[in-house]
Amino acid sequence: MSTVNIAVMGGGWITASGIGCMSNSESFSMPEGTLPELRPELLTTKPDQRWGRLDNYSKAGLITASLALKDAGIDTIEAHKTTAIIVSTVTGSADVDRKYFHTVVPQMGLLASPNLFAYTLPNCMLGEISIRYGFTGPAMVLSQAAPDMTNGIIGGVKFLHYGLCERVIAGYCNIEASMDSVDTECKPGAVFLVMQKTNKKSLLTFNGCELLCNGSKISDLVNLMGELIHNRFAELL
Amino acid sequence: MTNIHISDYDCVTCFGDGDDILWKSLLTKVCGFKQIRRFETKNYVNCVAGCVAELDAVPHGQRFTALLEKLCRRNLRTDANTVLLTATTKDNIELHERYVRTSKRDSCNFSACSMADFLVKRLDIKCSVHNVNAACASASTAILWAAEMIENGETDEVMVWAADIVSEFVFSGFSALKVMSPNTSRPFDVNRDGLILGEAAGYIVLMNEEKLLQKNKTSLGIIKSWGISSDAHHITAPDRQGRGLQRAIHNALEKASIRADTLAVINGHGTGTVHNDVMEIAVFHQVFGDAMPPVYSIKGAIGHSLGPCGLIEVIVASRSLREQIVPPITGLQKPEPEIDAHVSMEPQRIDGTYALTTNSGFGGINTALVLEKV
Repeated sequence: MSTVNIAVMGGGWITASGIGCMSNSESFSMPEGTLPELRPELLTTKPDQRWGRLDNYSKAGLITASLALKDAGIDTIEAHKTTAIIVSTVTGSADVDRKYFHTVVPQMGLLASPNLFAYTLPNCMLGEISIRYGFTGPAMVLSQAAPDMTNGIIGGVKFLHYGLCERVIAGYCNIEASMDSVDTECKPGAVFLVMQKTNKKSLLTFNGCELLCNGSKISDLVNLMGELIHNRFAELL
Repeated sequence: MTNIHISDYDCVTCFGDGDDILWKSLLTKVCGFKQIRRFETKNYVNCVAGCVAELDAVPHGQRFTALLEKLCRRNLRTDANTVLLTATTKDNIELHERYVRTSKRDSCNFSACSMADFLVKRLDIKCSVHNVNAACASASTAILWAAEMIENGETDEVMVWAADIVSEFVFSGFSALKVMSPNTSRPFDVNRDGLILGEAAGYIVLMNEEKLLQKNKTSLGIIKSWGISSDAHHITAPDRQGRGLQRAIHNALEKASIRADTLAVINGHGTGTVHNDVMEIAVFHQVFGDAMPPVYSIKGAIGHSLGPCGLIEVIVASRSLREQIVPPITGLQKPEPEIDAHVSMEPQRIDGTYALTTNSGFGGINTALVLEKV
């Protein structure tokens, strides 16, 4: 099975330690704690008219996608290559799920909020990103209970490998849920990478089964981001 | 090109266990909708759904697992290479409901993918596991991913499981969104006025030809090709022109290297909502023109089961190809003029090799799968 070289064109994140992108950060960390306030000004292009409707999970995803795309130099609304969005999560839309059902319970459904319900599917966050940037590729959320936060990135690389897309935004998005999450090792935050296949030598490679960073199997998201930042610009197209 | 065989499947719908009762009910236009007994519906636009009757007696919080357990009764064998993909929109959402109602933190161990956890243990899965959430295209997305895994040699066998239950959480939401019919589900009917929810679970086992022969299995059909595309239009409403669905279908046909006029039948998403069905009709005309084959939807009989609908529809489509019969559309009385010549209130004979199934979901995602008769 042939090895595929993966170019990381850019990356952005929101974690409890702050907001950043690959091209101007010296380090990456993902501690426990509270995420920065998710304000529309954090979007790298003009604020979205729909901003007020979005739940926090979608806001975190949309801001992080805009940071990653700007980092990759492709954050304008234009005809893109077929771009996929693959994101992993643990609690997904649990926060807005709870808020929505609180509108159902008091009056036995009479006051159920359609606006909140619309965001109770975790993949609606991907829809918001695709609408804003005109992405027409595959989009899916991978829910996971395991503490491995790299599923979305590996899934995104696989979709590149399959030829289902020419470019992918892939990563992890998990906001602090207002209920007990299943695994405390899954940290709050959103981390997205913009990737595509390349013929050049690259830090990331996919051997058909595993995603390798510098020849070694990636161990976790924090280490992967550390490696990518350490080696940034080395593989830009 | 690797042949992706369907080596096994099973399902539970409002008609009961298995695809035989589902198929017979579809052919005789039985409607499986029942009065909802598990929660109060007086403030919602409807009071019926395609419920699995025996789940009504199961305690709140345990219905989702009980639904999966019904399928696990079969002696399913996995091996070290078996990858598990699960698909659901809201998993065991009743746990979440209970959390909100009681606010007892210790009473709730909510997970967005409890199905995957449950099945890993129940089926002794040793290989990788992923839970796919792509709204109403969750199962079809999981199936096309499974097919890619096999085609690209990542593994030789993938089990795709999908399930969703009728819950007050989801029922109230569709009622609030005003996409639920106050009457019944009438896909592709001129008087359609919304969807009726349903619940279902199912699994499908896909494997390559070598594994099929090695395990001495009979192929139930082939997943010939697939396409997936986003609308980039709206998170809850379809693109009126259905550009995402068109791309998905075109990609599937191109990958299969077959012409549009070689399809024998189309299983449409056919929710019975005004906007979904008109979008699909426009897309089918755009793609197939005068060569449009018979079109049907099973949601008038079992309701819209959300996450698993794509998997149940693959099971029905493969049966349709094997039997060379197109099921009628339950609930259809007066077809939309634009599709009148292609839908039927009676079973129709066909003579063909390929079927197309399509799904579209919130978030603007669309999938198209082409099945081949063996």
